[in-house]
Order: sequence, then structure tokens, then C-alpha cells
Amino acid sequence: MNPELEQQFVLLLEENQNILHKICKLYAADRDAHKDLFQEMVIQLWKAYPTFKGQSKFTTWAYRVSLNTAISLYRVKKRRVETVTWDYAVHNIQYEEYSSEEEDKLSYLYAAVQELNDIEKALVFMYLEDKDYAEIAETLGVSEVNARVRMNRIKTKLKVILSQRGAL
Amino acid sequence: MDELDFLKNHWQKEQRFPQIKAKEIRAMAHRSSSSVVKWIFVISILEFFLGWAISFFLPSVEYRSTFEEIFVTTLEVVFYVVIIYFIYQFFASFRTIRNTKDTKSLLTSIIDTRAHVERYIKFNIYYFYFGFLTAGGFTLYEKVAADSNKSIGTLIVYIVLFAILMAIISYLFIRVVRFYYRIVYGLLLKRLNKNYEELLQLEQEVE
Repeated sequence: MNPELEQQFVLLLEENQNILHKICKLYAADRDAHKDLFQEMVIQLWKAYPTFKGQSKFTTWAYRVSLNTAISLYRVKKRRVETVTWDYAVHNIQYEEYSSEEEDKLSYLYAAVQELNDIEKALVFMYLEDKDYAEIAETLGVSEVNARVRMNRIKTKLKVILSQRGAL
Repeated sequence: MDELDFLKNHWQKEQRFPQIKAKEIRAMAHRSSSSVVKWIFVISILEFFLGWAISFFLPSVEYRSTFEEIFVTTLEVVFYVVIIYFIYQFFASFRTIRNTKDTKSLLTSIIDTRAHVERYIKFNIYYFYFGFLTAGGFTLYEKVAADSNKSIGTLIVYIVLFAILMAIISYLFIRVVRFYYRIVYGLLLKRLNKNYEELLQLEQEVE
């Protein structure tokens, strides 16, 4: 254990912890799952930290490792996750600035996103984070064109889900 | 407006999460114990079912007396009950370790788990010893009863030879069992101990 390296890691992660929280928001079904996933991501990030040599930004690297952790955990727990409701993500929203019509829309949107698969969620997440396709492609290890194509498919899929629920 | 952009708009504004302190992140990074304990739990279950499956494939023993039947059945029931208790304990430890927040109680849980594993292994080994002893005892008793017309001297030689043979077989078998436990659980306990050391160091630095 290298104390200097560890201190550096902990401080960087403390500063950027919202990345992890936001991933949890899309992948975890409830508060306990959020805590579990957060911890698992910290463990994986710390394990991988010695291989992070600063070629990319810390955040880019953290996005990649954390999303991979979320995706692989999600795969393991797939059966369980599918059966839980999406209440957690929806109830977590604070609506103050929204009209009731917009509130409904947000609820439907979050619910629709919950129906996407693990990889699709990762793309949506990067999109919501306002990353350009170059960074999305780099983080998820696909080509830029592929990322664009997938994103368009996801948008269509979301439209279908929403219209099936009568939300459009 | 595009649906996803509407969501993005909201997403960008919603950045309020309960913040986790550097100290906690540090403790989290070193908390690999829960995965070790999870493996202990999984392996103990696998052993349980493997043992159970093997017992189906073994030729069923013809009990030579009602006493033997009752005795062996009781022994088996006791064995399964105790093993299930241990598996439950491993599961409980896993849950505690996963949900504990502070380092101190984590350290206690690790010590507890270690003690459970040691007791689990001891129980298994003693059970095997006892099983060999009683199986040998029953076989010997039957042989002696069948050959009761022979001279005392022959019987004594017979008993001694049988006892030596049983001792050798059970010794070898138990060596194999011990070897297995040392490899599988030894490895897991080593990791658990390493994590314990790390956590202890953290705890001391904090104080």
C-alpha cells in the first residue's frame, strides 16, 4: 500500500464522487443498491488506480472504470434488477421548478430509461452528462460512428417505449 | 424539444447527492472483505451440495442392525444441521460486513468470520474422524461376532490388523481433507487477514 498514491486517489475521488452517484442513479434500483454499487465502484477504481498513469483525464478514466463496474454488476444481478420497480430513480427527482405536466414527463422518461439495457444506459448516461461523441466513444470503447448510430437507435427505442405507455 | 434533451436539462440541474467524505472513501477502497466472505459462503454451499450429491451416487449401505441404522441416521442429521448453521453464519457475516460503515465493527466482523471458518473446518475434520471410527467399530463388531467360534488369539490378531488398516486409511483420507481446507480456506483467510491488516493500519492512522 502506497500512502501517497492512496491519498491522491482518495482526494481525486472525493472531488469527483458525483460521477459515481449519477451512475448509481441510473443503475441502482434503491438506496441500498446505490450504496452497494457506489462501494463496488470505489473498490474497482482503487484496484485499477495503479494502471491509471494520467494519459487521460482522471474523470474520463473514472467514467470508464465505473461504467464498466456498473455494467458487469448489472449483468450479474440482471434477474433481480429487472423485477424491481423504477420508483427509486423517479422519487429521487426534486420537482420544485417543474410544472405538473413536466413532472409527469420526467417520471415517464426516467421509467423509460430504466427499461433500456446496460450498455444503452451507459450511452444515455454519457449523453446526459453532455459528453461529445468522441468522448463517449473513447469511454465505452466503440467507434464514434458506432456511438452515434447506437444513440439514434436508443432515441427511437425510448420513443417507442413512451408511446406504448401513452406518454407521447 | 427532444425527450432526451429535456431529460438532460433536468439531469444537469440535479446534482445534489449526499457527499461522502475522503475518510469514508478510503475505508471503502480497502473493503474487499465482503467479497472474500462471499466466496467462503459460496464454497461452503457448494461443498454441502456436492456432499449431498455424492451420497446419492454411493451404493446404499445395508444396515446390519437397527441400532446401527438409528445411530448413523442421527449422526447424519446432526451433521447437516450443524453445516446449515455454519452456512447461515457465513451468510450473516457477509451481510454484516457488506453493510458496516465504521472500520471498528468491520474489524470485529472479520475476526468473527475467521473464528467461524476455523470452527467449521475443525468440525468437518472431527466429524470425519468420528465417522471412520464408528464405521470401523461396526465392521469389526460384525466380523468378530461372525467368527466367534475361532480362538481368542486369532481374534486378537484380526482386531489388531484391522485397527492398523483402518488407522492408515483414515489417516490418509484426513490428510487429503486437511490439504483441501488448507488450500481453499487458507487462501481466503490469507486475503481476509491482509484486509484486516490494512483496515487496522487505517484505523490507527485516523486515531
